[in-house]
Amino acid sequence: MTDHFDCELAESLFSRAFDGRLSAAEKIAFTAHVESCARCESEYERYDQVFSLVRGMPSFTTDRPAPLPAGAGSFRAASRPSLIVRAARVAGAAALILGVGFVAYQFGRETRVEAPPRATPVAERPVETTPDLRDVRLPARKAGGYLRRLVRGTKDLGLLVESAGTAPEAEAEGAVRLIDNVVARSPLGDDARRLRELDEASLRSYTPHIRSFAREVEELVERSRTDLARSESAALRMARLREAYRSRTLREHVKSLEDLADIYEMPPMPSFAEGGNGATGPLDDLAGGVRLLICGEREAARLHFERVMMNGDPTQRRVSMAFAIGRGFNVGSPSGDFELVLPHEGGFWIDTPAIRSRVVDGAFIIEVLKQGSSSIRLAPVDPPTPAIPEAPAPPRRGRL
Amino acid sequence: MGLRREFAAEAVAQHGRESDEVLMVRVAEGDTAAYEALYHRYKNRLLTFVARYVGDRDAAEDLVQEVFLKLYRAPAAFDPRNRFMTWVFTVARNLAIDHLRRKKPATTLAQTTDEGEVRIEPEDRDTPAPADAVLFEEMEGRLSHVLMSLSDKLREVFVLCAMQGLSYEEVAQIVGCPAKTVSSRLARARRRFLEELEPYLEGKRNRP
Repeated sequence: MTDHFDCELAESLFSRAFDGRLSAAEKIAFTAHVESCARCESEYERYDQVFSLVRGMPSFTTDRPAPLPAGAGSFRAASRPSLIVRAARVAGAAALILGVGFVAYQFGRETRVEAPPRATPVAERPVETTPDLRDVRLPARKAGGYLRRLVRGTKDLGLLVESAGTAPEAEAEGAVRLIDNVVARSPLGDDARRLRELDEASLRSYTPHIRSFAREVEELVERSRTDLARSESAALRMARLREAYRSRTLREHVKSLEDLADIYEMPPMPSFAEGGNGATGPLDDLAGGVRLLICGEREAARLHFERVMMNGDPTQRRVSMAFAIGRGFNVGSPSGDFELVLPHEGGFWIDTPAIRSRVVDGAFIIEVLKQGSSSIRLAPVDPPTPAIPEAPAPPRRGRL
Repeated sequence: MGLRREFAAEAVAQHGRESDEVLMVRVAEGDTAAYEALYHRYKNRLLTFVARYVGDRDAAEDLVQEVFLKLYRAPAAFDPRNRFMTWVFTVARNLAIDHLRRKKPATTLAQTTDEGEVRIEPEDRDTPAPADAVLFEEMEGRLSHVLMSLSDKLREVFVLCAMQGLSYEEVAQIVGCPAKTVSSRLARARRRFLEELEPYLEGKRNRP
């Protein structure tokens, strides 16, 4: 691979290498070159020193107070918090003192709070604590964005609910109003709905726990609005809301979904290699094909492999560069990257015994078992649309 | 006293867990404490960015104040679906661009390299070790000079990525271009930087 990797190319990668933004294939080639070229090694070392120093340059600081418009009075004088804010603060402080609230609010961990009775049988919902990477589908980054905001917004809402839920009666009214306001202004419900719509319309299907999560968030937002509008004491309303929040599996979902959002939002198409390097390592039994679904909004999917082997012989990897699959898609590029580029045509299955993937020592390997361009086929994910029978030809004019 | 301080520290930690976006919701409600919290979170980062971008510390102070005035007056301008950080940097960038347009005829390299105009005051928590402080001081003059010799597009990307540590994607949102463009601009800016710093670096090497 280093044959194609000259000093000029290495130098062009300095910046991204410094920022840790090289793809797996680039990183292998770059490291191999820099380690074997004294000039590039020295240049990169210097590059690293200079820009580490630049990155460490101290910030400017200002002592100016936060500005307020003319006529608004001094900041301190104007900053007497509203009842709502004071209520929330007291609620937060109470939560701290009692050691409840935030301690109890730990996503993705075993909850230390006694589970309240559930309004709906949660056990019926599919609960997956970690995404199944064998089933990684690659939706638009837009979906990743919704997912990330949804996770973050749910965390925020949970934080408020947990802290304000412990407020004494006198402060609870303010806390209710605060949460009501946050729920009204937050995009949680909208994001959940959009995610579900993407799921139904263009993405065909997310993994079940994402769908379940989006549905739960929608329910929670709806439930919040209903509960907060009840004509009961504020403390009771807060307690209801907290119970509603805790009765759901949101907390179990949040951690794994954050990881998944990372994968979805990864700027170049996420590679199985990167996904498989996580703690789960489920890729080693993918014999029989790699499943890949490309979201409708992507132009192409690009997979980076850490190694390609031909017929179990690692020394034959160069041969595999020229190997073509299906409709002319290439594994490997002339520069030696291990890449599979799939132009978007609605999604594909790579499903053939001729290609096998597995993880060895944390490295994701595509193993080609049979050489030849005709040995691997790409098939649309969706079952092919039945051909519409041709309409009978209209009778020619002038003839009966 | 100790318990009180401990409690206060915990309260700060608790407050610090609230996301910027939730604080903005509170600002929209008229919560000045949330506004102040956001100000303290971002004032120095924005000041550093704007000062590096416009090359004028005093103007940067005014521009940062203007950013927060906008935020205070019209919090609804922020769409909570976006990240607050990228939004506020975008506002700051727009104001900085306007400032540079107004000042364009007067802005020269000579002015920006005047001693004292771009002055550095290390933050308490980032106070460098004495040896580093000397190095930073020496670097500072060169840094300002090189920064102002870059085009606006290269400079903003360099400051945000290479100095402020924002990701390519965050910067792409702020400046409104693809992340790949950010990457290539950053690489170009760094190349220019090395070229400009070459004599300085050589001098450092040869120094006994």
